[in-house]
Amino acid sequence: MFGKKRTYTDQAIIEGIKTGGANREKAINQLFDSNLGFLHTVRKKLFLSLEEAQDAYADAIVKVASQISLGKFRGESKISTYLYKIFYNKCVDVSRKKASNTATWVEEYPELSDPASDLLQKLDVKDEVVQLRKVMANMGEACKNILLDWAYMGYSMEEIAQRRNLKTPESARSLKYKCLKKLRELLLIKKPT
Amino acid sequence: MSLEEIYELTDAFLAGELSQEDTLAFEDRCKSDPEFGKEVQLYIASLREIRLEGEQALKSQLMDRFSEAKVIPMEASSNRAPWFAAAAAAVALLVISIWWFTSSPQQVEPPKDLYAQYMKIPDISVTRAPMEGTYASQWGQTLGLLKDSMFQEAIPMLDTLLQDTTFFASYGGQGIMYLGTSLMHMGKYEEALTQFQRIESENPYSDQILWYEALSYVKLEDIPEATRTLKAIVEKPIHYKRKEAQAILDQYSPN
Repeated sequence: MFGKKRTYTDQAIIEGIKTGGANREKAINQLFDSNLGFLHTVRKKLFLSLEEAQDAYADAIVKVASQISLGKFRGESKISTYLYKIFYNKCVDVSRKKASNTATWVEEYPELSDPASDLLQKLDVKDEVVQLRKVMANMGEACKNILLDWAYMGYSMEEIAQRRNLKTPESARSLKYKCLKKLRELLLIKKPT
Repeated sequence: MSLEEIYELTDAFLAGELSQEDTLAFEDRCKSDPEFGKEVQLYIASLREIRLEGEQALKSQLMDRFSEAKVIPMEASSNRAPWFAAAAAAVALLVISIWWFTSSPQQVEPPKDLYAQYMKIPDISVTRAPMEGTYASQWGQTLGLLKDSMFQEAIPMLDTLLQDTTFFASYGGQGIMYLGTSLMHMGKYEEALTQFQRIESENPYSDQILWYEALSYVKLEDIPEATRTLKAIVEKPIHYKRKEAQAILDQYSPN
């Protein structure tokens, strides 16, 4: 019998992304693959180049994945509808930038979870303390990978130990703390004025 | 308290794992103990740095995915040399020939593409006139998209309209039929089936929906479900696709 193509339901995508690790990767890839049709319809409509549309599409997938992880996607519409809106708006931005012939690029500030934002508000935090510093580029690959696996991709310590060829989950945990301390030190270094 | 303990406590706070009492105590300590508060802020800042880096890494992985063969958009492959296409065709022919000659003679011949033979997107019936109020313009736009075969764009619009209970009560059948067949057109047969199943048998569009439901099962090669649905059509005293449903059933069981 010929293979039957299985598609993920919205619920499965949400659960996969929230669970983290390998499930997250699969869910994001599924989200990416199953909505590729948007790329051509929007591109044709807004007269974008293939590269521009691909860039906006990848940005939109990253945004949707983040919103789901942070619990900010409330499921009031289908994920594909939500993705389409974000993708379309990003393409409109690209199209406007082209029309006005300006090369300005506004970088989006990564969002925080609701409890983190609330806490920072309550503490009346001074901007410079939590200002985005992009210090990860100054960390070694090993530290960068372990922190991304843990805090962004949501892999467990067991999975990280396997992925990164560490002896035990405890070694992964201890390396994670070492890397967090290194990141803290980099954040404490004052920005040159 | 060590840094590790502060991080663990902050993680528990962010994950909502602390009791109400512990949450208040944590927030109080952030305010009253400047050192503790500063470490918590730095930790949150670290998480944001990691998130930014993660988002960039994910984006670059996704950009790489575009270059994987299975998701290359059509235009991207057009600059390949013609010999590549000829070679690919020759290899494909060879593989098919080997498969043909080595497969068992008892093997049942795969069914013909019955779906392609019978599937036809429903005609768009323009019902703008009787529709009034907030939906009229969106519905009109959606029908325009469907008429232009812009199914991908019509899907989110139909989806939004159908979430409205008032719209659904009056135009649910027609809307679901258009949404389901658009999804079928995009190759999303299982999603189409989920939509079709929202319609009751007394809906005026239920006969058409039953037919498209059957075709979705045919396409998914779910023979038991396809047979069940096709039989339901054949057993109806009047159904506009009885003849076609019987023809497909005959293909499934030629004897």
